[in-house]
Amino acid sequence: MKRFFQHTALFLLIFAAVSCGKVSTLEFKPAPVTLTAEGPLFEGSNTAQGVLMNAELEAMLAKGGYRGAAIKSARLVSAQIFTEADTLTLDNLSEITLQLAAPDVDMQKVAVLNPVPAGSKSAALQVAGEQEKIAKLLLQPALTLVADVNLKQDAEATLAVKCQLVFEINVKD
Amino acid sequence: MKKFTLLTLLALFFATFLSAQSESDQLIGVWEPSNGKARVKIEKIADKYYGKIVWLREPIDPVTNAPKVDKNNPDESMRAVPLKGYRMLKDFVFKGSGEWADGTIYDPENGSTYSCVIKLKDDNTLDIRGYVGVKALGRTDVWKRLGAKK
Repeated sequence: MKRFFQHTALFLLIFAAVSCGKVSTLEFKPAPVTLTAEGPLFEGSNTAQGVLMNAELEAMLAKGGYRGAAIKSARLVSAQIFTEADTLTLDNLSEITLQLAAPDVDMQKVAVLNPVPAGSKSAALQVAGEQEKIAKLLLQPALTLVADVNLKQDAEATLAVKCQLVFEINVKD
Repeated sequence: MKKFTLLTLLALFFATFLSAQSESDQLIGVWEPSNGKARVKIEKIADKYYGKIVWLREPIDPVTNAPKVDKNNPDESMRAVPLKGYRMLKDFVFKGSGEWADGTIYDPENGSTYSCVIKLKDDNTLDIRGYVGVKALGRTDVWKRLGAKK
């Protein structure tokens, strides 16, 4: 019986040592994603979309000697938007809500900008306080960025908004 | 003869695929809940169906005199999200036989999210059932398509 307890205690110690490895925090700043809504567009709600491929994250993790499975948690820490030349400018927009979506994970609302500041070429969105499943979303082969954009008035042109996201990722060493 | 059989099989495969595709996309369109307070556009993103508010009968908040926002969101940081453009139906998957499930519906009037199943009663009518936990303990609302199909 004594031996049983000794073995159990030893097993628990080893299990704890293996499962409680050191956790490191990495910054993941993928290349800006272009979110597009093809014109003509109408006043009110429109949707612009773009795709972030998982390869960038995989490459960054591999550089640090990690694999996707090492990710324990992740959260979006900043979202910045700026418009490209020859498309609508931020002055045409009144509000933006940003969501992340993938076929196997529920859509997550991650940031909002209300109102969009007038006369600016770029703006920072307010990031959601409560974030769920960001790590799972980042591990999908492709992540769709969905921006619900309210336009102040009808527009013939296409809307192309660049979005720079920065994530904080906790990985187990 | 062999070539003919192969072509027939391919044609049958594509016909079945296209028919399934068009059946699942019957949900796409603009719909109005029974209370007539809003209109919701349902679209397909990354193989799932989502619905956002595109029109509000009363778009201005009488208290703030500004466009309505999601003031009841349990996450305080997201209370500035405008209701116009708000995605109140999320993550619906087509299950066949005119049913979309596994999604959620958000009620901006109380900030609650419910499990939800959508049934197409006919080309222009949806039964939207929101529930907590068990489907039997829920409430069904009837939504009508705007610009009804003939």
